[in-house]
This record gives sequence, structure tokens and C-alpha cells, in this order.
Amino acid sequence: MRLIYFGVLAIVLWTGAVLAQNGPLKIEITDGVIEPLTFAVPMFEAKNIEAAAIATKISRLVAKDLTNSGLFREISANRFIAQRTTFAEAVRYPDWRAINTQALVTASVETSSTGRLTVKFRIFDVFSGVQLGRGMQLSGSTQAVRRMAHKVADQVYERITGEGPYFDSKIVFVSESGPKDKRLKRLAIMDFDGENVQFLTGNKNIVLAPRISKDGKKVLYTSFETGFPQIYLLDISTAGRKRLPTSDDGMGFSPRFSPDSKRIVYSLQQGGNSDIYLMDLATARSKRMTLSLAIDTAPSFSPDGRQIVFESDRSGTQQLYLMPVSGGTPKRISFENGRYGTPVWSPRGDLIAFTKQSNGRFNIGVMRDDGSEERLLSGSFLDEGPTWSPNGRVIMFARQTQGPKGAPSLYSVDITGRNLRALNLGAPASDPSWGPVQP
Amino acid sequence: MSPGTYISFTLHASLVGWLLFGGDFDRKPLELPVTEVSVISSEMFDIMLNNTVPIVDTELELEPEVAVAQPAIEDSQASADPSIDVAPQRDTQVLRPIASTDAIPQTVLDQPVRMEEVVIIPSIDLPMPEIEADTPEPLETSSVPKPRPVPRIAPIAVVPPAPEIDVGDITQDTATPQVAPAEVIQEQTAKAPEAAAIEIVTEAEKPSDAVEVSRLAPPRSVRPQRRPKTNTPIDEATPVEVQIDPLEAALAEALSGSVAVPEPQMNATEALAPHVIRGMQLAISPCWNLGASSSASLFTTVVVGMQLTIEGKPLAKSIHLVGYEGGDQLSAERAFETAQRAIKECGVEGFKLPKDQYTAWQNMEITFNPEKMRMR
Repeated sequence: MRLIYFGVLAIVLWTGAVLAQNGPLKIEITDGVIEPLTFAVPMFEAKNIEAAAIATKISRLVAKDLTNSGLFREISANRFIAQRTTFAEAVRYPDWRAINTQALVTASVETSSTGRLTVKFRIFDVFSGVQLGRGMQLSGSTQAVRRMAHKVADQVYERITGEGPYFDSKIVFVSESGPKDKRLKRLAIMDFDGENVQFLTGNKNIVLAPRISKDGKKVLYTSFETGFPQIYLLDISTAGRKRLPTSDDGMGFSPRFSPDSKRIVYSLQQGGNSDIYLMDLATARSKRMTLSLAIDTAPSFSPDGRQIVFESDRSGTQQLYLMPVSGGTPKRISFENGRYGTPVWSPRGDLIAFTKQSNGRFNIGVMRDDGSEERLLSGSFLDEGPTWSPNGRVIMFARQTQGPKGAPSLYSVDITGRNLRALNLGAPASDPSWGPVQP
Repeated sequence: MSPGTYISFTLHASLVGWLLFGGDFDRKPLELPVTEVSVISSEMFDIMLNNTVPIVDTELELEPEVAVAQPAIEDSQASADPSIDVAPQRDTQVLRPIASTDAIPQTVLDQPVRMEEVVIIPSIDLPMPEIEADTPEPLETSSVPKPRPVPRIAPIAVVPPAPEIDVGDITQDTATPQVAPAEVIQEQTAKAPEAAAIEIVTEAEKPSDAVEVSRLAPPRSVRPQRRPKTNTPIDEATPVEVQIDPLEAALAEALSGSVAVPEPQMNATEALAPHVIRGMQLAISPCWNLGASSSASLFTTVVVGMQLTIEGKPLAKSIHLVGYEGGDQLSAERAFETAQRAIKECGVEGFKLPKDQYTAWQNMEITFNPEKMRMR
């Protein structure tokens, strides 16, 4: 009996060993590289002569958008082996692999006699030898060339990285001019890349802290038209505006929209004390949210609209606090050394961006909503006023240079801390507020 | 009057005089500790008691929208208060109620912002051109581009040239005498190396050899060890006839590790030498580029399975996602694409793996764990 038992046991063990030996070899890779992904955008095919110039412009804009994101690196056209790539022709993957191209974008552009522009495009993963997703096409007026290009770039970016798009978006900011002691400020709006700047207000009155709504149609801002800071609501499409009735005897400032754009939170200073208020835009009724002798300001909604984060010096120094919109006791979330301000919740809800002042420098940083995983992404003489891209991947802020001729300008940085870029507007700019991706 | 009366009168008069003219009545009263008490409104008192937030009803009507003014040239010399070019002042300021008749200064707007219309037609099935059939199994063996067919230049076939040209005559250099004589190296007889020892070092004293021996030595002695001691002392006086069960004895020996037990069958990962696995990791790592990965993908670990040819080339069609952890479906797909790209890019020439152990690495499962990469 024992012999049978051990015989069976031996067979089982032998079988297991054989099976184990035939199982897959298991390897773990934990080291990789962080480099921009190489891509090629051969000149888009123009289906007719009128579309030739537009095709060139769109292909160049797509390449520029992707490159400026910091996640992609363009392969120069003079390295192409396949000099002519049409939209209908089959992709010769070896040609693109040979020049180390990882992603390829091909497209065709066509204009119609009615002034319509059609762009068809495809994205390919060269080393896998497959098309990524399905082909897409855009249709619009010939005046919308820049938007078409941004849309194509957005699709490429989204398909390859998995992040949401952000190229086809607009940014409201304060455009500044004149000497430092007599600076003139006016609201302006531009494309995300600094092009197509249009002014929303005149420069007669000081304006501060514009905040664009989530639908991109309205802007809240603070103006000194009456001599005191008051909050105004501006409709971008009609340029109509109105002052919001914050209070008869206080100074309203630092407004921000709720995610549904139906309410706003703002600060109201009365008798030397600043508190946070919530206003229903439909009824214009305000509700006081904080009640402390400290300075509570710079509120920002969470993406679900249930909480706000704001700065307060109730603990003695300027720190960040969270509280439910329905009311409750604020909870402090920042505890590191330094002063924290201008918190802004990421549209994804995972991070809160802030301005931090410590060791004589201003930094832009991010942290979780419980205050953990704090990371500083930038640092200079004066960095302030962060705003999130619609996909929550990029932060734009204002950086002020030192000295009598110092002026603010806009910078953007990836949330990894890489790809810090200055936006070249040709004029001082501050207080950016990033709008949504346009429909 | 008795002398006592005079004395009493004198003392009382002195006391009254001292009280009247001694300045005692002019002395300042003792200071009492005073605590300042602020007066709060009944509303604030209720708030403090109930810990509720009051509703501030502004009861103000929204001002009518300001009509868009015609663009006008503004006075660029308009004075601006530089002191307010900062965050709102924290100092208390004298506030002035804004009268409802306050006229809003005219705002000049360049023009309403025009939004161009763009219509996206997603996921349209564009006619896909004929793509070259993917190399069915292994990846391309070389990244060098293949020569493409070139159309004939001449429409009519040309008569081939007469075979009178001797290619050899053209390409072969004629033999010419060498100008400088080649340096002749005298043949030398082999010599013992200078470092040869003059004294005899025994094998036991040679440290390097000792190390080598120890490396080659088996992990434990093959000699059978002594039997384990029993706790119960054996009465040597009365010898006991012990019935030895050979099966139990073999089992006891195996458990005690006293005999040379053959190594258990290893799985594929254990069968390969560590440096082979390390080599594989080093071969793939440079191509695992997370630079264009989403934030979510950086939190997603994917396990990718594949088969390899005997040359170490991954079979393109065999690369598949075994599983993922730490992310959603979309981030897993993107992470898989990144991993797949790494395998195909770095495996195009074939991974250097020992062919004699092909069965051990024919099937592979590679875990791509980006945990360390998030910190970079």
C-alpha cells in the first residue's frame, strides 16, 4: 500500500515539475526611459490646389502642438525615406522603423467650392505595424484652420497617451502694458498656444483674476471700476457684462465658478474680515460659508461640486483648507513649512495645485486633497496663480521677473515637473484661466 | 477738666488735622484690573450659540447687461493705481457703500470673440488602403528598409551588353612592389612569464584555487551523516533487535538531508541563470518608453505574454495582455501598447538567449511595473 502511495506521490511531483518547467519564463521590468515619443507628420495630402497651403499649415500646426506638449518629438522630414506619403497609400512600416519613428500621422485636406474644409486623418503605431483606432474626419469652414489642426493634434495626443485632449482650448488672462508703476490691465482671451489674442475689456480699469466657466462661455473677474474691487460676469460671445451683487458694503473678489457654472464662490471683505460666500447666479442670493476672524479667500470647487478648497490664515499662517459646500468645519490639508495660497482643484479631481511661498521663493506645486504627495513643479522670484488644462495634465501660471523692469509672463509645466515652457505673447500677461476643450 | 481730657482733645485734633491737611483724601484710588468686553450683535450671538451660518440676502437685482459699446480709442494715459496691482489688501479700509445709481464705467471691447465651427465626425470608416500583409510570425529581422520595386526606365527591353568587359580587370588592383619593406618581426621563442614564482606554492596555500574549489563544491556533503540522536536512551545492556523498515529509513534520510538529494525540478524562471534574466531586462528597458504615457498608465502594471523563436525574436501575433493591476481598462490598454512597443522595438534583432535552454524561455510573461518610473 505504501509503495502505491509513494508511487502516486512521485508521479504527481514529477508532473508538477514538468509543468512548471514548461510554464512561461517570468520577468519583471521596473526600469524604463522617460523620453518623448518620436512621431512623423508627412505633409498632409492636398486633394485640390486650393487646399495645398491649408494642408501645409495644418500639418505644421499638428506637429507643433504635439512637440510643445513635451511628450512627443518630431522626426525631421529630411530623414524620411518615404518622401511622398499619400493618404490612400499603404504605410511602409519598415521605412518608418528605419528612422526610428514610433507614431505616424497621415491625412488629406480638401476644400469645397462652398468654403468647407474637410480633413481626414489616420494614426499608426509604426513598431506594432497597426493603425491606432479608426480613421477620422473633421469638417469646418476654411476660417477654422487652426481649430482643425488643434483637433487633429488632440486626437493623436489622446489616442497615443490616453490623456484627454487640451489643444483646442482657450485661455483667458490679464494682458498688461505700460510701466510697472502705471500698469494697464485688460482681459484677453487666446488659443492655448498664445495665438489669436482678443481683448475682452478696455484698459481703463484694473482687472484681476479672470475665471472662465466650465462651458467656456462666461468669465468672472474682479474689477476696480467703482474704486473698490467688485465681481463682474462677462459673456464672451456677446461681450455683455454685469456686476454681481455681492454686498452693499464690502469688497468682493477672487470668484470662481462651480462645475455646473450655476453658482460661484467668492471672497467678501467686510470690516477688515474676509470670508467665503456662495452665490446662486439665478437668484443672486449669497450664503456665507466661513465664519472666522481670519482671512479666508481664494476658494475653488472640487470637480464634483461638493467641496471647496481655500486659503486661510486662521492657524496663524496662510494654509489650505477643505470644507463641504453644504457647510461644516474646515479641515486643514497643508502642513509643510511655508505659506500656501491660490489653490485650484484639478478637473480630474486627483490633485490640487497651489502657490507656495517658502525660503524666499514662490513655487507652483501639487498635492492630493488630503495634503499628501506634495510636489513642487516650479520655483522662481514670483510664481503664482496656477490654472489647470482641461485634461488635468498641464498647469499654466504667471511668473514675474525681478527688478524695476520686471514683468509677468505665462508659463506652462507638465504635472510631472517636466517641459516648463514660456508662452511667448510679446507682452506681459498674468492671471491665466484655462477654458474647456471646445466642442 | 482733667489732664486726660486735654490729652485726648489734643490727640483727636491732631488726627483730624492730619486727615484734613495730610492729602490723604486727594490720593488716587487703587487701580482695579479691567477686562475689555466687546459688544456683539444678537445675530452674532445666535450664530455663536447655534453654530449656524446665516444667509446673507443681498436683495439686489442683477444689473442689466451693459450694451456692447462701439470700439473707441482709449486714453492710454489713464491713471492706474499701482498699489492695487497685488493681491487684495489685508488692511482694513474705509468702505463706501456702492450706491445703486453708480454708473458702471463704459467698457470698451474690441469685438466679441468669434468661435469657428468645427464638426468632428468620429469613427468614420474611411476606406483603408491595402496594407502589406504583416509578416506573419516573427518580426522583421532587420530595421534596414527593404528595397522597393522600381519601374523600368526603358519601355522596351534592351539587349544586354556584350560580355566582353572583364570585371576582374577593372576592380582588381595590379600587383605593385611594396615601396617600404614591411617590418619583419623576429620569431621569438616562448619564455616563461616574468611573474612566474620562484618558490613552490602548494595547492592548499593558493587562495584563488581554493576559492575556485569552494565554488565547485556541492552545497552539502554527499556522505551520509550520523543518524539523529534519539531522546530515549538505549539500554546498551539489553540489545534490542531493531526492525528497520527500509522505506521509513529512506524517508527519514531524505527529511534529515543526510543524503545527496537531487535538486527539485525548477520552473523556467529558476532554470535560467540570473544573468540571462538580467540580460533580458536590460535588453527591454531602453525601449520601454513611458514619456508619452498618461498619468493613469503610470499607475498601471501590465503583464504581457509572448512566444519567441529559437533566435530570440518575439512572435508578433503572440504578444498579448495577460493581466493588469492598478488602473482601469483604458489605462491598461495604453500601458500594454507601450509595453508591446518596447518588446517589438528592442526585439527586432532577437534577444540574446541561450539556445540550448530554448524550452525555458520559449514562452515568456513580462511584468511591466512602472512604480519606480513615477518618481522620476
